[in-house]
Amino acid sequence: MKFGLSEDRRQLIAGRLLEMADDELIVSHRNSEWTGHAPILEEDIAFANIAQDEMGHAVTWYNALSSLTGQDPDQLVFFRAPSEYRNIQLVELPKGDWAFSMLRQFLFDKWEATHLEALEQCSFQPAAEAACKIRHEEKYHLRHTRAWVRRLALGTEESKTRMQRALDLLWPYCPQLYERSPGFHLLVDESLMPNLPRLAPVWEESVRSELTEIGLRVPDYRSSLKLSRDMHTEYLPKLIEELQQVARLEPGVRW
Amino acid sequence: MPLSRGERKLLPPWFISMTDTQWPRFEVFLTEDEGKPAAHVGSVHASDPEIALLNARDVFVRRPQCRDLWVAPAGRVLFRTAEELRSQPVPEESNDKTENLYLVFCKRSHREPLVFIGYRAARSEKAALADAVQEISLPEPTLWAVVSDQAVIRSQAQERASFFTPAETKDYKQHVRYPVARLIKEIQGK
Repeated sequence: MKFGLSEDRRQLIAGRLLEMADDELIVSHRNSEWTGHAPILEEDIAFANIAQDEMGHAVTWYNALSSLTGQDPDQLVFFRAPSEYRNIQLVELPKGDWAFSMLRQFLFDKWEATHLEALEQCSFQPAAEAACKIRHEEKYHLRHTRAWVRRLALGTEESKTRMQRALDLLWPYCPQLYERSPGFHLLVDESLMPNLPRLAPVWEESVRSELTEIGLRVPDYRSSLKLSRDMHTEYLPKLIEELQQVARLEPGVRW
Repeated sequence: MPLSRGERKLLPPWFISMTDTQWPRFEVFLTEDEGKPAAHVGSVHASDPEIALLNARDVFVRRPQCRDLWVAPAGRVLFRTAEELRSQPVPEESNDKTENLYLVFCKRSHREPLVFIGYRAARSEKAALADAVQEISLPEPTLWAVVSDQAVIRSQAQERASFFTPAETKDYKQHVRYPVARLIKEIQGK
């Protein structure tokens, strides 16, 4: 009974930690694809920095998972098939243009702000403590991506058009942020994890008001697309292949 | 190749704006710790002051030890080397403008950084410089910088936890974590 949890609860929490870790890892990888290609040198450094931070958060969640199940984080990252990944589709979509990547990170950061705040209050201590630490850093990410989203939306005709296009493309994928996996409600009942559907309107209203204020048209529907976390787009296998390429050259090698 | 100052003078302004695609430059000043003066650490390009502050954080605060960050548009910072001051002393300006607050920085030797030495109330940046030069004569500083207080954008105290604290707990950002010196010695010893 690690952390005073029954086997069943332990498995459920481990499952949720894997989802959180995979989201961070994949968004981090997508952001890192801008390294060397961002619009200006300073922004290149800044966005690579954010990507590295998200990778650090992924490591935090993989380690928490490891302390529950004994699984090796490196094995999870480098030797799992794409179909075994549990990230949401929002983070695996190709990086697109600068507007797309900035808006995706903004929507993700807004969710993290809402989610981490709730996670801090939950009774699974290792996650609550980590959330408290990560939340400060996320405030900075949000400030950075918000600054860009505002400037692009309020900038030229072209930047505004691209930002609107990015929003139209990303919006249908957003509900997966707060979609629950099977059995998750049991964790919510015992306050081990935050109530995701209850966070949804908090996130949505806040995003809506920020984006509407800068003249973007937020689609008025909430996508009815039901996506489970074992469903992925055609883009994930290619990403995973690149991510695992070096580790798989010589499995078990010591760095 | 950036254009030299001489070349720029020969070219029409529309040509400069077509070829110069860089964003404006901002000078960056960083305070490492309580009790230490703000030091000039370099500059960043940015579209505007807020982005400049964020870029300064990402470029210069990747490694820990920062309490405070200031940025100022490069065009608003008056730099003067000791040589420039000798050949062209700062004129005593006596126009009747009201006094403003200026930040004065000084580099006391080639080994030391350009650090903040204090505020001066003066009628212009040159007057603030003249004032400071008189005050500190020995040893003769190698470089001076003066900037109007109004041109400086500062990180806020309440932002410290999100701006600077995270870097302190990331051991991969600390150079002591990497055994580079030991490895070099090992390689050299072979």
